[in-house]
Amino acid sequence: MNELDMIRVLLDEAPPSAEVAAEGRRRIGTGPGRRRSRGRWAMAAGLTAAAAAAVAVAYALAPAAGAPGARPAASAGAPAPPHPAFGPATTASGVLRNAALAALQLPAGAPLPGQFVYTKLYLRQATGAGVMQTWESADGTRLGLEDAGPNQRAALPACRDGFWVDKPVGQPAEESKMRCNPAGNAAYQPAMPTAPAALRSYLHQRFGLDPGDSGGLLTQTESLLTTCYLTPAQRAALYRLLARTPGLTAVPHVTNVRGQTGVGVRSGTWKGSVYTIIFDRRTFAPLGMNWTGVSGPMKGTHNGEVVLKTAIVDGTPPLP
Amino acid sequence: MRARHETPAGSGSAPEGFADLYERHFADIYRYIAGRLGRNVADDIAADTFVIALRKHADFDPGRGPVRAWLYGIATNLVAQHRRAEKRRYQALARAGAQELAAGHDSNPGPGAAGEGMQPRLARALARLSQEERDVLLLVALVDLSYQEISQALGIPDGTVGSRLNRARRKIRAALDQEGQADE
Repeated sequence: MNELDMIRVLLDEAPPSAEVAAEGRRRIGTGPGRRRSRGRWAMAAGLTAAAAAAVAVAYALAPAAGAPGARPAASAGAPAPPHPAFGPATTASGVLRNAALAALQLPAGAPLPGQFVYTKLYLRQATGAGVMQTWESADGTRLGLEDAGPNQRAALPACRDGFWVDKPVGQPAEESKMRCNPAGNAAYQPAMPTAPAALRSYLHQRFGLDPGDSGGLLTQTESLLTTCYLTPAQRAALYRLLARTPGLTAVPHVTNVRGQTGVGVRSGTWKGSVYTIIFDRRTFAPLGMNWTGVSGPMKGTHNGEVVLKTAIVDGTPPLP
Repeated sequence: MRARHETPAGSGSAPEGFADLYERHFADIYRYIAGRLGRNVADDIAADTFVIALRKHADFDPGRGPVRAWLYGIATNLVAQHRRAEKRRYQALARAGAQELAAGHDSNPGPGAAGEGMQPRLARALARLSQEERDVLLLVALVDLSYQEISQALGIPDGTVGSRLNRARRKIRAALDQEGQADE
């Protein structure tokens, strides 16, 4: 048995159930199917991981309207701080350095164990457009929630006492026999360094990112910004590391999927797409990310997403 | 045997043609995605693959290769957006296998054995590969695509397919050998 055979055995999975196949037929319109409650969750979650920049002013932990348990930001009601002394934004590194300065103006703070990071995201992609909300466990130990609309809600797994806990729709939570590491499931990553060299090494060790991989670093930055709560210093450190990475270009005028125009930082072609993170030209707050397929199967697709709101909250709505 | 010039929507863009395509390929696409991300995630991603294929079928060029490769290209792009989940799956497989070994159970990971006590080593080695290496390796191991089909699926030259595959296989073998010695 060679290594290819071993992989085949290790990752072998049974065919889909009749229900899953029927749901697929329903989605492409070739069969009645049966609506499942999970809907487009996994896709939306994946794009959340790919997106990100727009954790802008809203990222100042402003309370999210309608988010149960939303806690007002420490700075709510306070006058906005003056803009820092931004430099020229004619190059990618100039834009990113300004974004780092802006990030450092955000209120400091961190979620407590047991709290959740709430994110409301608008996304447009080849499979459709819509709003999704997520409640991700700050320390990874509590069940979270993803909500993309009616009948499109699902619990996010927790890592509790070293084992995965999941809650299938309409059923009680159940502990699996699969071991897990809560830190790997946590939306708050206090161990993420803020010094560039240490951060580079952390990203390499944790995500296998090579220092010169500008596209990988850009998308991983987006992923971290969207799936985790990052402190202002962590956020600024990511932008500064990107600013030092060759291969990114500034784009003077970019419009996000909500019609807001800003200045962009664009990757080269990475995995068949070109990614552009967008910042407000005046405040350098993030305005989301666009990505366009330029080769391979995704060629010609125009996608984008914007984080509409983020908050730290104490709980989730009732889980489905 | 698959049709070399099968098109996404048969002779036209009629849903019936696409329905045939779905029936022929959905289960295999699902198993590929489930192997990489687990069944829960695969439920949605497999369907997303066909939703994208349906919307983009007019762009499919049968002269560039079979539709199967095109579908796996879409699926692989979607899998790439779940890198964190994929690594988490391999890490979980590694831990689960190690736990069974520690408990004195047979190392058989499930449907057949991946070699004596090899599951944790193999899963850890997969988690350490780069995404590009893993894409090529798993399109060969799980789907048995040819170099040419992988080239079409991923939009990379044939030579790059070969070099990534060789590199990935070397890394896996080295990891298995090293860890095997360490375990002895």
